[in-house]
Amino acid sequence: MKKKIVHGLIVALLIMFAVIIILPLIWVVLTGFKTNKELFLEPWKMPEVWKVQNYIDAWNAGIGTFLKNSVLITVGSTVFSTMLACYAAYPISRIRFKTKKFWVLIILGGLMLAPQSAVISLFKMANVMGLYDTYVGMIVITGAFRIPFATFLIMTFYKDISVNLDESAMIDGASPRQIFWKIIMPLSKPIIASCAIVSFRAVWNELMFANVLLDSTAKKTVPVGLVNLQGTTTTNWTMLMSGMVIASVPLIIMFLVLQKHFIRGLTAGSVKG
Amino acid sequence: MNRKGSKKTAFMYMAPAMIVILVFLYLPIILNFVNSLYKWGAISKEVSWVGFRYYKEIIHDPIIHTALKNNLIFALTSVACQIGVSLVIAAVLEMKFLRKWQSFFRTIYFIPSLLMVTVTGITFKMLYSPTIGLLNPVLEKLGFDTSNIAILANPDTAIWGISAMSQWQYIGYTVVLFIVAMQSISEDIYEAAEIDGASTLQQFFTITVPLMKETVMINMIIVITGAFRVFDEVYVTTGGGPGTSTQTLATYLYQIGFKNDQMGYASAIAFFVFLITFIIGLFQMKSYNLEN
Amino acid sequence: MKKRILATLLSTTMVLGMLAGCATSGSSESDSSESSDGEKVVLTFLNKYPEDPYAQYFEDAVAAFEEENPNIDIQMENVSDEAIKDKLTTMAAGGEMSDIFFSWTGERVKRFARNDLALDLTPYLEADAEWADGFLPAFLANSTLDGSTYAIPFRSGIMYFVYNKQVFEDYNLEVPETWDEFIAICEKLKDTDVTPIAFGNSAAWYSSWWIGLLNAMMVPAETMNADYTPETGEFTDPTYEKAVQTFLDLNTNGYFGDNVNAKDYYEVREGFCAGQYAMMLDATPQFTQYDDGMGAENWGYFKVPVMEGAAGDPGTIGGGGEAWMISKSCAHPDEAVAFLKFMTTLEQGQKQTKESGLPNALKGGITADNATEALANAYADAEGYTNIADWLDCAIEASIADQYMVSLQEGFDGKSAADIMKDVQEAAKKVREEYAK
Repeated sequence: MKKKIVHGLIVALLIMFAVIIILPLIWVVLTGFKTNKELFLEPWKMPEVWKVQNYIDAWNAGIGTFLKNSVLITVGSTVFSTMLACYAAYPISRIRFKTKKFWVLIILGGLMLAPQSAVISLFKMANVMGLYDTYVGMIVITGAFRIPFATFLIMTFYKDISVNLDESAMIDGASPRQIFWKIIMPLSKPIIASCAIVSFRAVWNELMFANVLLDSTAKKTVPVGLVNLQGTTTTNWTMLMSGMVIASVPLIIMFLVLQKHFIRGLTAGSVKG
Repeated sequence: MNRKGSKKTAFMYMAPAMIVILVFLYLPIILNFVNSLYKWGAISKEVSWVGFRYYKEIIHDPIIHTALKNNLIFALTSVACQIGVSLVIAAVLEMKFLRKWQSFFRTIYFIPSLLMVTVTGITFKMLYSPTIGLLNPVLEKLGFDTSNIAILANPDTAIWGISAMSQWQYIGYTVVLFIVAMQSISEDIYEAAEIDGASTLQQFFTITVPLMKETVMINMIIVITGAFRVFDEVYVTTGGGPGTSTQTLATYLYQIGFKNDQMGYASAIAFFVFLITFIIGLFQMKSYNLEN
Repeated sequence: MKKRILATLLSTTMVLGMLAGCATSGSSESDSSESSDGEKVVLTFLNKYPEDPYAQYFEDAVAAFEEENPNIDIQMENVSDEAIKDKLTTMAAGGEMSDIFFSWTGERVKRFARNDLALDLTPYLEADAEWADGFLPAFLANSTLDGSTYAIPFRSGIMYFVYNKQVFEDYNLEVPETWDEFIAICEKLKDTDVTPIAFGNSAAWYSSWWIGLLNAMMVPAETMNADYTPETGEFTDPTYEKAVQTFLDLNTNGYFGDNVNAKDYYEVREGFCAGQYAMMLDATPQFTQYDDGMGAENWGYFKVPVMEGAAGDPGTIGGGGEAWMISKSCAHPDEAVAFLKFMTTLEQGQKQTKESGLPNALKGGITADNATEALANAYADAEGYTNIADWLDCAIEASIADQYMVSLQEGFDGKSAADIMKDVQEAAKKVREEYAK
């Protein structure tokens, strides 16, 4: 009996937490259908007329373009950083060489670097290198900040793959390249997925670099675009809300559809990380 | 394979990543340090040597103190919620009687972490508003006097409000991470403990937590270093206000450099941020014992 | 093995290269078109109006200019209000300004001029007296540094109080002419359902309008000029503290309602339109928002009440202009000037006001024909003013303005006027020292 009460209580708490999570989300979606006047004067009521136009306006205000840019930069940066990390982690975890400790330190040190402490110099560098206001610049620079963590994760994973595999392959005459591609990589799929997820989220959210390194409106990402939609005396708040919904939905849908794979991907990172 | 060959291989595999890291992470930090020794601005053409003057200024700058305090608040609440609370929620969701509901709760809790911080920020800025928001009416329904509650407008509560928003967004993420890690702990261990008469609570502390040490540690590193870099959350909600009460190191640096055009001082703050995150990181790495 | 890695690296760089290709194709277009058919002059133009109806007007205007001048190609980029401040800073840092770029008048213009980033337009104005004489003198005057003009104003803003006619009728109120009458109205309304003044400070720029206005009213003009100049700014005159005190008192006396720091401009404007507030400080470019929000017949405006016995220049009113500047590094200054001339002819200026609602900065530019009644009247009424005090965040050096706004936010939370001015003086001192070096 006592157990039942405790269980009931636990469930109640979990449900309450779920409500806290869900309520703001519903509010945003609803507000997206309101007029500005309703938002400021009757924030509590359901919209009188469901103003679908807000969503159309938001799309026309450029959310579509921003989304395209965000996807391009995020995917580019994720692929770029994960790939380089896969390569770099291999010798560090499997091959013995003298200066290894130094390179490990470089990677771990990179893990600690805050992007803010580099932003001003990076801005100047981007100008000099012709990376300013280009997708490549954003991809390389945001990617660069993902590499240390990705390498670190993959490295610890590689270490747990039995060395016997390598050795027996080597006895069979396999080269390091073959070992890397035929043995290590197939086994690392989960950690690669895990890395990709972490990097994807970080770059997807990126606001500061996008603000500083991108210039033309046609290249802005969603976070910058949303901040820009707020004029000083002319913001259309409800349209902004609908813009936010449009910007969020693709990722949420993707998650719901791919949930199983997604969580399997996380597994490697959380256990082996 | 001969030794020379393997060395070559090693460098070839490492080179691309290392070059990128050195050029885009380390070089800027060095440049940045050099820049911090000069007075310069983006618009202002004049450049003059100031040496370590800006570093002395940092020590005495009250806003830096506020910023440090705010970053610390962020770090503490994040560890408490995204590590502590998340572990508990994960453990609860792993309890047998909840198994079939687990994926339902897990999914809901996870959704906020899929939103952009910008989206969460704009949303919470409005939710916290005493006139148009959602928070005050809810508190009122619960019987609180809300006439003086304006979370983001009050310098004493604003940073907590922003931090709470961040917890709302990320608790679910670590919950999922922890659940996944817990699932890899063998059932047998729990069963053995149960036979020995250990309670659920005892099992949590004697089995679950110790076996998840690695996962917890690594997430702790992410959470804490993240807390010392907080930018978006503040930039979108309060921009550092009211007054300077919610400035963090990152937002203050941005304000000084890009708004006030004092790039030299901003560079010095940037280097200061680097020192802090680096030292914290080293400590954590030590305790994580990366030697192996 | 070497091959494999090389191949992968190559493919990566190729993908990146392709991205670079599409990334830069937009901007390199300008160069190629310039070189290919030799004649065509390309000018980049950074403007501040990405949202309709403004964007549409500017696109049409640019198209009209290009039609008249087929050899000139104007490439306009529109960036929103907050973003353009960062963008101008970053562009300057990179040393690459757009050929023609937007700026607010006042210190923001001067900053570019001082650092040699802007073209001196004085010779062009002198060569075309008709063009130069067409501007409202106060707005052109706010774009000068050491006697040289660096910016061409295209939008003007003059501060007025707007009021809700229904509320004034319900409570039997007369439009105030003096500050005392204004305060009396506030006092009368304070215990009713209507909050006297619509003001919110969660986004601090709105307080810079108020304090800029109060300074202009209460601080002697000469003192203010000296203090607003970065090299000589001290802000030690006691009238500054008085101005801050006056502002804070409006809050402590309850004229602003609750939670000032939690509300922002939009919120109170919507509230004002719905009749929750009686009066609101705003400037002429926003007048059309009130027509849309509550109907042209339901609101009115009145001049900022005169503060009797105050030390400020009674001919000065708060406001501010928006202007275009030409980059010092612009390769085709004549064409750029031609474009600005086109945009600021009386005909085009009137069109701007008519189509976008943005009041131009031209003499006789705003009439009943191209503007709403209220706007036309407001500009007729403004003829009595001789000088415009720019919004404070545009009028003074950025870090001092920032300090002002930060401290005022704290002021609404209890910080005293004396302490606020101490903060400002400190910031001004730092700036003074920087400039002295």
